[in-house]
Amino acid sequence: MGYRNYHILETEQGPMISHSRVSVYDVMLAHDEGDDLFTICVVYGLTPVQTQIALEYIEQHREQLAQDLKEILPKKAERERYYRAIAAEREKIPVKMTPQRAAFYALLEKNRLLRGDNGETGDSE
Amino acid sequence: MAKRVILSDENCDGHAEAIFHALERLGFDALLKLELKTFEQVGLKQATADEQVWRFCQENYYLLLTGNRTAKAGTDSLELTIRHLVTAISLPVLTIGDLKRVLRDRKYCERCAVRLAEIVIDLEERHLGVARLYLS
Repeated sequence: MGYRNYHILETEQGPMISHSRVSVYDVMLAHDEGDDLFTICVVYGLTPVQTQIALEYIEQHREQLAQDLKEILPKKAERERYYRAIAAEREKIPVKMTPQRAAFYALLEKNRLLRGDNGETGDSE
Repeated sequence: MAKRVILSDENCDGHAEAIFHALERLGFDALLKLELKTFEQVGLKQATADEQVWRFCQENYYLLLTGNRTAKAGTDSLELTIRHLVTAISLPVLTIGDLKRVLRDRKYCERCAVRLAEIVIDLEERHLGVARLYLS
């Protein structure tokens, strides 16, 4: 793989990291939560150089980015509430019990019994 | 049930793999005939614009699995795209609420896997025309 000229793209969505679909805002939020460079790389599928360039950009533009986030985060939360409410309504639509659906629910129940109330295994990080 | 392709957004290939691993662990993979594909595997270039990705998924009947990106609602954003273009038969965009937790918290990852399985099994009856669905 040749050298890629990674850089920050100024777009209508705000600054984005080139050769990716990741916003600088997400890197800033992760960084401010205490994530180190390599954690950010793994979580967002970025190379160390892409992440480093984003962190440098954040250092230079922190005030503006923080200002942007004050507007973006409430809208993001509102959007999430909106879609979750629609999903909750859709869950009320009755569905026909097919053999496949019956098998699915049986497996779901089996997992619940084996692994706990939510069908999850007992261990986390 | 026909094979259902889940296309992982390029910033969450590892997360999609983790969710698929959980589906396998829980026994849902064989029942639901799911196939995970990456941008590279379907011929999408790096940093493809949101609208192009969304249209590609609709045309090919792929379910896009993406992160919960923080961005302004610019005219080329995924949010604006799906709000303007979604129809009653559009496929939803599957959104992982917290990318970091998928990799760090096995229970959360399994919750995402179970939700993905539920969405797939009820897709035609309940979820067509919903622009975005959160996995957890």
